[in-house]
Amino acid sequence: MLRYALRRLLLVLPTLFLVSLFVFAIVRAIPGDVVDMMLEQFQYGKSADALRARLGLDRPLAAQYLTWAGQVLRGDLGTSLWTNRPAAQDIAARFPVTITLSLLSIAVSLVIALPVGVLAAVRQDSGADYAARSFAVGALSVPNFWLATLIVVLPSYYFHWAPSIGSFTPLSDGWHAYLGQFLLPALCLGVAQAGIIMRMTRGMMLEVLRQDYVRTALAKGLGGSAVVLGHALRNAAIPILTVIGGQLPFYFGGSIIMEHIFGLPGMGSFVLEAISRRDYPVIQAVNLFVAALVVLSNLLVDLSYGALDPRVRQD
Amino acid sequence: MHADSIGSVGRRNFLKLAGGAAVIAAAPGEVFAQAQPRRGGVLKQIGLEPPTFDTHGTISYQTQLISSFVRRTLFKFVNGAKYGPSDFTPVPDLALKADVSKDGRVYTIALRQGVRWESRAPVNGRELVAADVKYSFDRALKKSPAANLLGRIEGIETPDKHTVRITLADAYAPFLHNLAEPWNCIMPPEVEDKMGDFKAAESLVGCGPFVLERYEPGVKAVFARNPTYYAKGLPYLDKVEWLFVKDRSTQLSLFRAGQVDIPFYDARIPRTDVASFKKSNPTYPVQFWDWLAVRTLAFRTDKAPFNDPRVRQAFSLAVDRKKWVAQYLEGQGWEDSGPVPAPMREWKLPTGELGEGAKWLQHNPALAKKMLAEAGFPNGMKVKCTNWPGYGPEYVEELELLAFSLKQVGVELQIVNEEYGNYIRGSFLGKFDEASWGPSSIFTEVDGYLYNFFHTGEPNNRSHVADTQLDVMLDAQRRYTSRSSRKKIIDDIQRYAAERAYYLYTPYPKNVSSWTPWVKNYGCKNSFDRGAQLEVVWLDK
Repeated sequence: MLRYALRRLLLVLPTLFLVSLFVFAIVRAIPGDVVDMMLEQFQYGKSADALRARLGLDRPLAAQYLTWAGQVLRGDLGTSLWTNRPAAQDIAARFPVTITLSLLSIAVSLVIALPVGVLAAVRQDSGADYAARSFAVGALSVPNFWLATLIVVLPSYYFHWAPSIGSFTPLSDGWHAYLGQFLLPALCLGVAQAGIIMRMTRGMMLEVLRQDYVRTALAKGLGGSAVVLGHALRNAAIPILTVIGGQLPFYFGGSIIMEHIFGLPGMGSFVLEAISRRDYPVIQAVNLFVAALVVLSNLLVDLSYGALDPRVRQD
Repeated sequence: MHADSIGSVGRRNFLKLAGGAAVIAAAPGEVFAQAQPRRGGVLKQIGLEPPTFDTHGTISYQTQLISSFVRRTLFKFVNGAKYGPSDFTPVPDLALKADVSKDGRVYTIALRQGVRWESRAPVNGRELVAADVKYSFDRALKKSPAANLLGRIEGIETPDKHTVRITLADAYAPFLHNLAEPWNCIMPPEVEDKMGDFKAAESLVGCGPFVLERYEPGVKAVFARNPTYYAKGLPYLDKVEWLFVKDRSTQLSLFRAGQVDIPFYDARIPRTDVASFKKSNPTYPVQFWDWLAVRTLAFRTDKAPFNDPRVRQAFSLAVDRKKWVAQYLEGQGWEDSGPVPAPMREWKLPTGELGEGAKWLQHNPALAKKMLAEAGFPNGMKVKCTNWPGYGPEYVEELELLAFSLKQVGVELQIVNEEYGNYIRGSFLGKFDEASWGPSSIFTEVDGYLYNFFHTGEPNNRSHVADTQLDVMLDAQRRYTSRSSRKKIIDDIQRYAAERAYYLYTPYPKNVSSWTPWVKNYGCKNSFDRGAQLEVVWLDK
């Protein structure tokens, strides 16, 4: 198991290297140069060449990449071209918001998807199953930004009520108020992903419930819930976990839209602003950070297989 | 000829204005006969987050908006419900009055005495003095992209603590007006000495009606009443929360729910939502108001086919402006002929007085076709027209309407949508091949719509106009500080521009704004000076 974990950890390094190359190249492929933008949109500085040299953008791309990669290896994610603030400082300030929203969204997805998926499988082809499947298709079909917009717009139109937006409460002011402001965005983000997880749960449960060991457990006289939750669900969990691991980028991506609609000061609005200003170091830093997070969380998912299935530990 | 008129009339008028306004500033409560102002309360307004807090480091209006709460100018424009959105009558702010020399080159400005910077480091409540003004203008001239608003300054002297003498290289009519623009705010030198620059929120130190109490990046800025503000009794509000909610539908929902008092930085609501607002919030005031962002189709007049005035005039004849306003804008807009925006009534020359040029503003497709044929396009023509669709669906519809009008005379307008970065640093500055359409920047002084649009070599001269005769007139209108003399030149410029049709000005809508019913004395304004606008507002709930 330890060797497996180490092997997977080592694989993270080339992945991150490739991601860093890709991110570095792609941000420079966005139409519109930061220097032109500074000069002509915001009138920073007087000469394009002087400004380019001052920002270090006059050097060959390979040299710029190597400088940046060297900084990253030393733990320095770069400095914003516009504000001169270290990108890591802004990420540290905004990451808690995004991670809270993402984790709450995952929690919402699981709270909805697991019981509904299990129920649908146990009562296959019943009214409950059809209702659950309809819900899953509906959740998958409704875009989360549309749902969020409706949640914000409709009550304001009909009842003159809107969620409390525009006054962010930090965690230091109490965890209920802090978490409370994430509930609606987490619901919007979590519901759509719940559809996917629910369908996967139902499918896996149906497969597992037909296995001999489940029949044996029932024949031995074990209670239905003990069999379903203790034997079947545990064995169905690995593919479900894989799906959740694979969806992490969607949670991060979705949080950008939710932060925008619900006015949360997370990494989403921060990176959108950076993209619109072509703030290369910030875009690179955020992308690399999120990529590292997704790679590491997938690694954690892989490692958790061992906890769920002893056969994986033995391999 | 000019010196007398510049000196005597200009100075007298301005001093009269300044004196009257000083009375208003001294007794703010008495000017609002319609209701008794109430002190207190927190006003929540949707605002915009600035890229920097350095007003001299950017042309970004987001910075000017937020800075104006705290940093003040020597003069300001009148504000409040009883003044029009384009009423740019200057009144004293940090200055009390200005004397202008006969040749219009030397301005002697008397500062208001006893104005104090806010009571925190590094200024610690010290008095504002002439050296602060000199420091701020020197810095603006050196660093600000809007330095041209100050004209060509030759020297700034401070004969005493409360007097500033500014000498210009040439007379510059918009000078006093421009001293009321937030770009020309007064800043204390200690902040730069201590912090190195004015980029951070902590550098927002001033002597205005509000002080920055809290800045939460990505969330909001909270301004509290400045207890040492020179205008006793102002502002009425305890606090203003300037919220950085970016999603438009969220902004409007918060407004419908009464969670914010003003739904945008200028209180605008989408025209398409007016009917539903009236239904969902019938007690909210809805006001149509004039704004100053004219729409133009700019041509490459420096090359064929648009170097032929007949082609440009034919384009103008294709547009049915009356129908456009009556049907598409439902009467809430301007059949603007340009170049002076219709809401600038004191400068605008009525179409009937445009002389020969007026005939190109009529709708006459038959004549347009004939002129195109005479210019060598009997079968019509195809024209590539760049634009940025991100201005919003209303703008896209207007461009489609223009394309439809031109199609009736055989012109196929091939619309090229550009990404914002490319548009703003390309087409917006005249870097396009044939034609480009879009709204202009907003200028509070008529010179902005004339000199910037038409003078040879100006970056906002998108049509590449290079007309010596016009340049002479444009330079001249800047030298006439006497309003009546200047008006004559500006009338001539309008006649001349109408005849040449260097730009095709399309009709444009009025803005529509709303605010909660308990917000009182709010007046829509074509200016980025939010501080002056909100210092006279109160809440009645």
